Amino acid sequence: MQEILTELNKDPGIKGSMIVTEDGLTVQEELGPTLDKDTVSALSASVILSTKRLYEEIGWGSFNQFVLTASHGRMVFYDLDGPFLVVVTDMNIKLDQIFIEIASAANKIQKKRQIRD
Amino acid sequence: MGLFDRFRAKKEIQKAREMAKANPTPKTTAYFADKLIEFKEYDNALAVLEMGAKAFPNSELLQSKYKKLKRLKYQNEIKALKEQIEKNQDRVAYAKLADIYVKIGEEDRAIEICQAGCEKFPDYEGNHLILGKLRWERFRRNIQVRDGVKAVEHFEYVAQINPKNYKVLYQLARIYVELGYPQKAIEKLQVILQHHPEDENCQRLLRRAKLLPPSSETDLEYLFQDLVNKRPEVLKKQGSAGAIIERLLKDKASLQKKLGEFVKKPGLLALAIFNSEGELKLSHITDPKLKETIHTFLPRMIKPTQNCSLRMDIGSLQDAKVKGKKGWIWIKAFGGGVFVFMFTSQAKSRQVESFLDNFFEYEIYR
Repeated sequence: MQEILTELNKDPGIKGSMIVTEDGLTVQEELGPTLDKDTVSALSASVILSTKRLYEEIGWGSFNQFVLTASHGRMVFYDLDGPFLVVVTDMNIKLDQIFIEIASAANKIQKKRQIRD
Repeated sequence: MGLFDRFRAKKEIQKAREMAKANPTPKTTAYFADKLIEFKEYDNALAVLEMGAKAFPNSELLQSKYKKLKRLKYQNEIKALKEQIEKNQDRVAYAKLADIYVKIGEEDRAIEICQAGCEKFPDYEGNHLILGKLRWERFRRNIQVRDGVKAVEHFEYVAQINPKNYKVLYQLARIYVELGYPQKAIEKLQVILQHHPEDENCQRLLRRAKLLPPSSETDLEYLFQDLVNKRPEVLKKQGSAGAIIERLLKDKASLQKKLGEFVKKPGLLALAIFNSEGELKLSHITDPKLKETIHTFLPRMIKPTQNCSLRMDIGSLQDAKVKGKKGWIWIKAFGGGVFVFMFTSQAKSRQVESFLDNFFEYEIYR
């Protein structure tokens, strides 16, 4: 899984990526020097949990993806059927393009997880 | 350009100008700028977009157009400086390039460039100085402790490299006074006064610092957090950002009218507006059974989302899109508040997005 994240991070504009559970446990991370693992996992868990709760309470089940755009960067949360793939990007990135890469990485990770299970 | 073309250009530009004047919205302003660009009046277009970006700071349309045109203006300089960095390892080039990115509005790029410069040339103060300034401005804007701490760290580094740098020493002294850490402020001011004993600003700040009780706390993170907790109203100098949302919320009838057609759209589950404090101020929920649930759980989701963007050091929340099989949520920070739209999978996302674009770039200003 580490390799998949390393490969994903090669895309220009991606600052780092990690796989995190909704409880904030890090499954795998490739965040680079500017991002702090504990901060990213804790904040991600908080967003994922609260969004999941809202979806559940209104009867929508769960969500697959969450794209947060801030003034200096983006965060993408992608459901891996349990844990989430979290990708941090800068603003100079075309979201459509990068989404293909993220979806492809997510797909590879899911396959690896299925083999392992 | 022939005579006829010039006549046509003048006429079209005049028409666009009148439209923008009669009905000043981001859309009409962008249209005016587009016409100027079409007829190669780049400088005028830049001036129009600059005014527009200032008048409508929440308009994505204008901000992105303005940024794009500015980038175009500086592209040769950027290219040359990038080459200089690659070839000559010129330490000043980092600061120059960062400065251009600041002008373009790409603050995160500027920070990255300066950080790279600091790593390569740690003893050069220019990059630290820009980083300190950028972080400090961001702290004032977003009120994030991390930015404040980083700003002081960079300024301190500059003061260490160049102990006679008046501006940095004075800036640090002001920050320390604001943080309630007078002993540090006094230390900096005394250094300045050794070289400029007559400096009135320094003397005034020194008198102020001496009146403050010494702080037993020296941890910057703690001091900044304390400042944020104690004086949020002073720090929240976000220009008129909050004004739009407050104005809209005061005139709910007008807001409902603007959203009139939209709330009838199939698939809309909820529309909610939060003020700058994150309080739910207005909601329209189509399924009455879910009203209480949404009122309870939606604010609990908005807060972490806002908090995440700020604490992740990626700036303040602009928008967020959440997709699920049964429904999707669109969150948009606007005018100091947050709009949230919740749709079931019945809604046609393209139609909705087009409506929302028009709403935030045109209708809301009318």
